[in-house]
Amino acid sequence: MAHLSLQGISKDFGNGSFAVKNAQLDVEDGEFVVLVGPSGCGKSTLLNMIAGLEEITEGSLKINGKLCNDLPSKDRDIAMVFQNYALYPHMSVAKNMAFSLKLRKVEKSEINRRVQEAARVLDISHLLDRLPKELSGGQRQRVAIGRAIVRQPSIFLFDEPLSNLDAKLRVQMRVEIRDLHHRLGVTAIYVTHDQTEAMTMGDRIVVMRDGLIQQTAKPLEIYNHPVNRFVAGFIGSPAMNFFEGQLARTDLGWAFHQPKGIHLSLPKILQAFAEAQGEGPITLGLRPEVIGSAQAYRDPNAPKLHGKIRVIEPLGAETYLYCDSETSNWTARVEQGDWSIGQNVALPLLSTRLHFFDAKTDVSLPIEQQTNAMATSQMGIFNEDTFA
Amino acid sequence: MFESRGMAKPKVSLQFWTVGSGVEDSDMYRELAKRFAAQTGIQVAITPLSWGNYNQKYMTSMAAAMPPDAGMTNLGSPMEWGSLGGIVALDQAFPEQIESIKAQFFPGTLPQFTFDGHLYGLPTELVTAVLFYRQDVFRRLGLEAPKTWSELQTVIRQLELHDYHFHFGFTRGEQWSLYYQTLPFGWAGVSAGPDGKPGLDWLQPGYQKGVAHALGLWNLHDAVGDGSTDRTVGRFLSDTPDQALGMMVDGNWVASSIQKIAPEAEDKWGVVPWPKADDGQAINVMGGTSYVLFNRSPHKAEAMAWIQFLNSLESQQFMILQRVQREGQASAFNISPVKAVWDASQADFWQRPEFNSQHKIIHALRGILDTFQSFPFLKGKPDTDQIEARILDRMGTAINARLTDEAEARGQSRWQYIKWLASSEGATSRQNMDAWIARKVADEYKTQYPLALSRLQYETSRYKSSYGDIVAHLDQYENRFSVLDFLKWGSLIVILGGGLYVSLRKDLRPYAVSYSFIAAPCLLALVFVVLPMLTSFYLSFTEYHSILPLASAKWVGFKHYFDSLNLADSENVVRSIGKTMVYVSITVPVGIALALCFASLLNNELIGQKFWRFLYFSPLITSSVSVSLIFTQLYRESSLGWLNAILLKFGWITNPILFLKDEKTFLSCVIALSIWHGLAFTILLFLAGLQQIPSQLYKAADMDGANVLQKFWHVSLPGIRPQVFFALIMGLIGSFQVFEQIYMLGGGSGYAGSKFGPNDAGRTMVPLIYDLGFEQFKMGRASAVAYILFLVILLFTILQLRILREKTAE
Amino acid sequence: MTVEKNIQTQPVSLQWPRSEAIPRPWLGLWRRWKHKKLIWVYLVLGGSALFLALPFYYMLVTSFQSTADLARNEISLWVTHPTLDPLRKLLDGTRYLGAAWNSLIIAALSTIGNIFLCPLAGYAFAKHKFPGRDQLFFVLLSTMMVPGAVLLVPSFLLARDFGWINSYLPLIVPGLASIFFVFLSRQFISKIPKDLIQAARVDGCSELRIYFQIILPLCRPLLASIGILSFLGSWNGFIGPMIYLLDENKYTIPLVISMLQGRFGGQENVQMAGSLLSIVPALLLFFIFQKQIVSSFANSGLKE
Repeated sequence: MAHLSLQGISKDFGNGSFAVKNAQLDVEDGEFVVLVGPSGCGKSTLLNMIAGLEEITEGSLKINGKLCNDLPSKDRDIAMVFQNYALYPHMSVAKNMAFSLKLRKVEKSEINRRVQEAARVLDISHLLDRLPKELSGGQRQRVAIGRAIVRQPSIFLFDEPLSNLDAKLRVQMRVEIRDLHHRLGVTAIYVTHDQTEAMTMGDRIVVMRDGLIQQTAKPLEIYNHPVNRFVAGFIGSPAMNFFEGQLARTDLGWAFHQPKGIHLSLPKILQAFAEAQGEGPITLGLRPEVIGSAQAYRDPNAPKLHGKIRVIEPLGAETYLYCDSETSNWTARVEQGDWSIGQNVALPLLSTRLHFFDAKTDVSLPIEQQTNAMATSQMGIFNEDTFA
Repeated sequence: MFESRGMAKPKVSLQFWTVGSGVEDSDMYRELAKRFAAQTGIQVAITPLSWGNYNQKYMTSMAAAMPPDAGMTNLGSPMEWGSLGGIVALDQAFPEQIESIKAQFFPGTLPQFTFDGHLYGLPTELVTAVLFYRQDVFRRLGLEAPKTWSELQTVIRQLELHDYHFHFGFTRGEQWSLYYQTLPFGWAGVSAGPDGKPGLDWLQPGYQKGVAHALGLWNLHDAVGDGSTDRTVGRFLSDTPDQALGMMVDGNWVASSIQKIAPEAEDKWGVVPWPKADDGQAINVMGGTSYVLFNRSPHKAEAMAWIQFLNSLESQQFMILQRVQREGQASAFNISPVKAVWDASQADFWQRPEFNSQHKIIHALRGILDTFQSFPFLKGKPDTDQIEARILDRMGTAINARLTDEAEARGQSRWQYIKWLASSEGATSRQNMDAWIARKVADEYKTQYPLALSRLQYETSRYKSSYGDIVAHLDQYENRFSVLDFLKWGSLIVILGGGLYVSLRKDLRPYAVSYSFIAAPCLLALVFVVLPMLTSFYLSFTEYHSILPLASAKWVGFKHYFDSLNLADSENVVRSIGKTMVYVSITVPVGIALALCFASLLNNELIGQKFWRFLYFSPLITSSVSVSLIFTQLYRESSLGWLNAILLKFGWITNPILFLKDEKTFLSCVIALSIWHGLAFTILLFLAGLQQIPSQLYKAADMDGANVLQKFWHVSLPGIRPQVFFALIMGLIGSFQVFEQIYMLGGGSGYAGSKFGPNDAGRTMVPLIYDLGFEQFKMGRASAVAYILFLVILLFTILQLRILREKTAE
Repeated sequence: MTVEKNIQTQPVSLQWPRSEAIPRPWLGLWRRWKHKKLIWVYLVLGGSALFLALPFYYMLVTSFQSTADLARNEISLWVTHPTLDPLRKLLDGTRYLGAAWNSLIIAALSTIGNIFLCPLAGYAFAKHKFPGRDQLFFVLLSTMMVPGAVLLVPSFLLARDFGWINSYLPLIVPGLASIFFVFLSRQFISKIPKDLIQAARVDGCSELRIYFQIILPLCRPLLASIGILSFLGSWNGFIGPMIYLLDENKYTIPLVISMLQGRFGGQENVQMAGSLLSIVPALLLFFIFQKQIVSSFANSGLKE
């Protein structure tokens, strides 16, 4: 059990370029924190620094309040699960799991006990004598986790552990890891590039980009209140649609306007926001589920988005439509229906659930509290499929 | 244990090296050593060397300052080594005894050990040529034993007319046996003029006559030189049973093994001395062995006692008997240079039953002992010998070519034509041929004379100016700092400094583990690559003989580089580069093409795949020395060589090809051997590459309708391009450094003359470096050549990389 | 890609027909003959094999022939009266067995050196980060460009200076950590995933333990390659022993073989017996370890 604190941590290569810059993060005891971001964003470097596999050039890393910057990784009381499992190919499953304990000169009977226990927990007891190459991907994954468990570390580090598994297995392991975490209650830091994993697994999510932490928050907080266009686009699947246009004052009040494109009158609740913002360029963000949803159809006054269907992806419960309009391409998440390619559609919008971003800085523009409260209640409860 | 016997004197143990061609010699010396130890208490350890490399071994031991106390060698070496301070000048070391020592020997045998007025060695056995003839055959043919050269020619013709083929034993390195032919004329090729200046006999008509005789004997009568007869000058063989061997011109030593050679001719042999020149002049002795003492030895007096023991009457008689009694070809009859052995008082010894079949030769030899003569040594003789050896090689090639041409023009085989030449019908052609040879000999010697003479005189003066002073002050040079010392200390400073730097700089300390992991290869590369490279670079600008201390290396600037590039220089590097290029430009592409071919064939799904692959890969791990030895025999020039036999059998040739004897074919033989030996690796490489090509590509090509060749061209070849380039680069780098094959096929002999094939046809770059550095011990020159080779290889590698880069850029 | 996959992607090894490929050999044989197209492949391969195997066949025939048979003025393509005399003569007349022992000692020592030192350095170059790493590696690589022949003369002088003439040291020490094998090791080890080493580090391994317990066990094919190639290189070496060794008792096999022409001049059968004794064990070893040897050689040509 441990509390982890990163204060102003940087990894810099000395020639002006850096992998991680000024990372600030506090991980509570027993918390499951997910580092997410596109490849090259510095999340793995950050994890390696926590693990002691990479040198920290600036800042301080504290575990349970103790400065650990220069502590060798073996003394940090951590365990790590690697992307490629990193099982020693020449050792049997049992030996792989026992290796670190052996190095620590743990008593043999104790090693045995812990290995058996971990194997039982992970349901791999029958595999203990096999070599890694004789195991399936999922089994290897379990062994890799088992190897971490037997250590009984105070912090678990996961480096994209599921990325080598096929989709179905990934979903299954996701649940298992989460379950395991609940049972063991150990602090865990989990790196992934997959936003679905991040959303489903993390108590908190840290979104990173180009070495900088963009936002640290609980999953829904991130989904509903992304701090900028990057976070908004990265979290959520299919990704948020962006439209670049103008805020304009019309006879009917404020509207979002694209020359030759969308014209969207803003609902009442957003008038004050627009007033504060004033006329000028702005980016509109629309999540796919906002376009053409059942709820939107129920509102006769809902503004409509016009476009021509390019691709249809029927998923069963819902259907994704990839549409082209004159100025932009966008994705809508609609109910099953009689859609056909080339069809011209006009889909209603839930105009209460709009996101706006500064056209220049991409920073999220604050919309009043009450609006958000309404939006959230309208969203209902997420289920897993939302992010699949 | 036995110390009580050693008395007060500390026990002395001597090292003695012998040179011989069999184990019998060393056993004999061990027996003598036992007797010597019983007499004096001095132990002698015997180490045998072979005639193939004794010179290199002695030189190396002297250079490394670890020579034996005494050694046996040929007649020529002592002065070479003595003049550089390697061996003892006997007259200086033993002034009191020297006169009595000299008096033991026939006086004519000593001049060849004298250089600059000092005596450096003592003879132990002498060899000369005699003529063995079958009395019954001669009687039947109405012939008489020839006494002069003209008579010999007539006899040869008569024998040939009666179907006696001449088989000549020296297939390579003929130059040293030239004495057989020219001695009767009194010339050895070089001579000291009355003014003390060295001179050459090459333009003397008598000398050239001797050479022409020799060339005629070697090439005109020799149906095909057959290397099978060991060290025989020549034998006349026919198919007539019981009378197969008609005459032998041979060394005296075969006298005792003659019964083994032709048992049917027992007691029918006549032995006469080697024919005299037509003017009746007779000079004999053309070779033998000698004893020398080494300067480094701390036991010179004991070593001298050992040699004197060996030259004592008893030991000499023991050796003669021991040799005669040996089995088969090891049995030999040698001539002792010790006068006492031949004294009338020893008549009982010669009456022993062991000599029953030797009386004829003993008689013949007794008649010529007084004519034994040798010639004082001249510096530069090895150099003129080299030039002369090349003349002989070239002449041999030319004569053989003409003979073959004329034979083919008449629609005859060579042997038929030789026989025809011997007949009266062919007399005119024969005279034309003789005249042509004489003319060509005169031309060759005239052309080469200035070069050889300047070389001779230059070497003489070079030795005086370069080494004379050094030899006189050897001990001073020994303690002087040399280039190697500088570099050694330099490296040590680099190593220690590097270590200190890493351990002192705090920020480097975490990496100490990594540095220690890579330390070994870095250290080794520094000490055994960088350091030698720098040493060699410095040496290439100096004159340095490796017997002498390194500090004596004398700065000569770019001389070696200029000399190496000078076409008039007999060791110029241009010729060697040319040969290397020919070798490389055939070996590498042909090897790759063949390997591509075989690899694609082997890549099929075959029955007995394992068998085929084993067959084609089998040469992979065999050593080139062993393989070359096999090829040497396959290439034998006579119809007993398998290659010739096969070619003759299929009627592809009418005359056996003189594979290794002809300078035109020698390099091709090496090339064929190298391709054969290198094929396995290249096939393997390509096959491994081919198997990595996904089979889908072939399936796709099949569906596109590609045929076998198209598939090879568009799928296989692009698929193994990395392997082909790798094979190309490795092949080039390896081929530039070809050595073993040439050394082996060239005979690798330590004889003076061409060591790397006829006319040194196979002296590519590395053989040249080896020759200069480890046979002639001209370390400076060898270094310069090595650097030129390095530049050439570098140039090619860069060129190749550039082409490669352009290709990939396309 | 997974770790295990990575480690199996290494070295090319030729595929050998597995026994289950042809469950009933004769049936398979018959079926394959139906591929009539392949007949010309067999013909070409067979014909060429005759020529390729000729030298070995000649050696075999000649080394069992008696001197009397050889003296006959015709060649015989097989042995009419096989005899062991040539072999006996060879063993009596040379120190062949002693030379074999010497060769073995030299080859074994330099092989052990290479197996120990080269992967260690290759590992550091592949997986460690330290100042000057790439520069040092480049310098090492460029020393590989220096042809051995260029070093002949100065190496001799150096060995003389060290007092190494007539000892095995100049044949062993300079080649204890061949740069080529360092290069090969680096290529091989760089394919081992970094994760594995990091996992070991997290598990608490020291650098040496990582090398010995994690890296080395994964390098078995590499070690086999280095072992076989360095052993053979040393075993077959000729010019070095020729230059450095004086005492016949210290000679190696190639040296003994090279002297047969002089020592047994005119006795082709004894010379061939010498070749036979040196080649047949090599062929036997090759037959037994064909797979390993072939893949070692194939790997030596593997370049990224």
